[in-house]
Amino acid sequence: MAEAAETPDIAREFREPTDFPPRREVVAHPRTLAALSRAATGGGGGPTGAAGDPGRPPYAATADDLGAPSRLGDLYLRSLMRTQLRLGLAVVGALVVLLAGIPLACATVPELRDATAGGVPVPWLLVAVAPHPVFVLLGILNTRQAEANERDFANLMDRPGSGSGAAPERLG
Amino acid sequence: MISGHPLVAVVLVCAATALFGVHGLRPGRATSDFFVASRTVSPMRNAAAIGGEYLSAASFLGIAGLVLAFGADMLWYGIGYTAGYLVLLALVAAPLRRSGAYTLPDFAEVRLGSVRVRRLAAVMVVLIGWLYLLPQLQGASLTLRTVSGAPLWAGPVTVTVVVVWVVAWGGMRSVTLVQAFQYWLKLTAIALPVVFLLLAWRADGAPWPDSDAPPRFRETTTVSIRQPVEIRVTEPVVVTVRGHLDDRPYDGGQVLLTPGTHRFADGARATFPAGADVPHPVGTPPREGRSWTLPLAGTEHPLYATYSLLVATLLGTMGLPHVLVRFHTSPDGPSARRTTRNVLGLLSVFYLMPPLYGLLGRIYTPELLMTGRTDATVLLLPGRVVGGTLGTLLGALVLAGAFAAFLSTASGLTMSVAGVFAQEIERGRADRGRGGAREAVARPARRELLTLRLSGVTAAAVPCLLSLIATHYSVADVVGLAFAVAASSFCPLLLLGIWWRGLTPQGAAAGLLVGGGTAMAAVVLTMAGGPDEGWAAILLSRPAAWTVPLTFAVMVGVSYLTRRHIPEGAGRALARLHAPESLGLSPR
Repeated sequence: MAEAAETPDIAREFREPTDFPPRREVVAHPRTLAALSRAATGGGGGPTGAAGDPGRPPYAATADDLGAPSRLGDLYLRSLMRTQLRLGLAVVGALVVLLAGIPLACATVPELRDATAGGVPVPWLLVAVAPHPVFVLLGILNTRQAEANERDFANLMDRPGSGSGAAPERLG
Repeated sequence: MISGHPLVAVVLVCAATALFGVHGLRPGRATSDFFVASRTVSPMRNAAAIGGEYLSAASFLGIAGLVLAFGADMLWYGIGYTAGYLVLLALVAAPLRRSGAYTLPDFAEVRLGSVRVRRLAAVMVVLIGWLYLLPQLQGASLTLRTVSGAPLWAGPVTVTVVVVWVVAWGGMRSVTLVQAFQYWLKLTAIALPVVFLLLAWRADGAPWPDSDAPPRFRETTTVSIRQPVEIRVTEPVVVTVRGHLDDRPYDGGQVLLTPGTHRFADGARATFPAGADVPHPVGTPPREGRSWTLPLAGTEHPLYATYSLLVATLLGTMGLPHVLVRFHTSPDGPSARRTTRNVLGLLSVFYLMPPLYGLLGRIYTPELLMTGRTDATVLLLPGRVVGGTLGTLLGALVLAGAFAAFLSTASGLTMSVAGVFAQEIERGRADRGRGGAREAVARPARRELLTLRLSGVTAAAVPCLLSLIATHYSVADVVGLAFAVAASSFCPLLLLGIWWRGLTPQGAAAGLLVGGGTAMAAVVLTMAGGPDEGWAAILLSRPAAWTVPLTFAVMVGVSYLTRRHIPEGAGRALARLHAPESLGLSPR
């Protein structure tokens, strides 16, 4: 039922001029798209794969389609960019909260501003020392997650419709 | 004084840098080698090279000097300089590498397909590059003068000559090697003395700068004035003066300095008794007591100033021309990301050090507050605190590190500015014939190398002349302004170009003009001595917090108004920036 609700939207967008940002965007994670494509091939069953374009379900795109003026390639690109942008903004957001928070805390909490630890004023430690390990940690997390996102996406593109791709393995 | 030993360090660093430059000559025949070291550099070496290039005079000398004079609020510089790489990593590194562009103007053209925007970006690269080169040369000038009393032109000329040599003969491959070497040199030069400084400091009873009194001379101190200085005296004090004071000559006689302003001429020496207050130069007085120790205590609108500095450093890093070109020495997007992650680690280690120098400088080199040459504290501390042969050796090491800082940043900047010059010239030729930038860059041709070398000379000579004319500003301040201009021009171009397909050439051009223009105007007004206090002063001297949002607004707004002109290939271009390499979309 959910699919039936999605399909008309995509069809409508297909007819729109493609170089403009569309009014309504289909928001989907690559995994969602993979699920959709699997559902599309799975729903058709084995025989549909043999007819026409084997292993190329309606929701799958290839690398050549990415960013091309077809709604489908566009959809894939958007989903990838959205995932990566969300990750990037999450990391930068954490950074901003940390960096904006320290001066704010110093400005609003006089006790914190005047405190000392081992003879060293706490604000000096908070500003000059504490953020560095957080930077490194955020950097490692970001690198790892961004690479994972790209791997997911590459897998999705390499095996258009992983459902049909998995079937021969099981047979062989 | 000890003028023989320290200069040996300078000569050694210059010679090593120049030698590496020649070493890189033979493989550096093809112009693509010249530009990007054929993209064969590993993430760790590349990270060290980026760190080596990035740690400039502002990081090595400037932060400590600012902390010495202005205290806790200045600690943000080191944090901002590091955090900029996290933003770069999270939002820019991999897509930028995949764009295949060598320079920022290239990126503008690849993404927007507009020659006009490319030219505008080229102009901005040159302006930012020169603005950033200026403090490097001034740092060199100050350094040579501090250690050997050399004339003010000696530092800039030395740095310029070595940089032109390296850039003209080695190109990027040798520069990569030189930069990686210089990161480790700089880290050693700043970290090793810290160990001894802290030991000596503990042996001294670990004093913390007095939080209730103005800085005082701890012992009888002779201050040598290298440049005429006007000072404000608050408590009457008897000093011994040799040279001109208030236009009257003295020859080692005792003089009573009454409260008020006094003028020392060039070459004068004054001996202050222990316990006397350190007089301040007229103009920008350093902070005292609690307003030095505590953050947000000394100036008007401290919260705005802090946030604006953070905006400039966080977002400006990605817009620095010499930083970006380094990403193209990574073979692909993920390795560009790993390189950036490694840079974060390397910078985090380095930036723990300068605040310690500023802190110890406050205690042991307070006379710098009188001459206003606080940037020299890193150079003076080892000799002052550790003393003896060890102190001299550590002093030479620090000096070598400082010169490495000037040379590496200056050569990176010169290389990028020269690259942009040469490309514009070559493009002019190629457009008249036919053929794109990439072919022009990849073709090894003698004439192009000649163009590049001549561009290198031009790129280095202009700021050298400027630094001889311009009066002295705090090194870290000028660098901060360069960051603000970069943050208000290239940062929005990169972020919107990478993440928003609605960006149009018109929007980008308008944003670069308005944002870069206002930030540049603020810089010029500040350096020309604009308003001294109130909102106007702080808005001009820390412009990023308003110019960056303004640039984003203009870029988005104009792009929206001209949305018919969204480039036809925008989708393809974005796919190339974001698709993983295994899909084979991005050029290798």
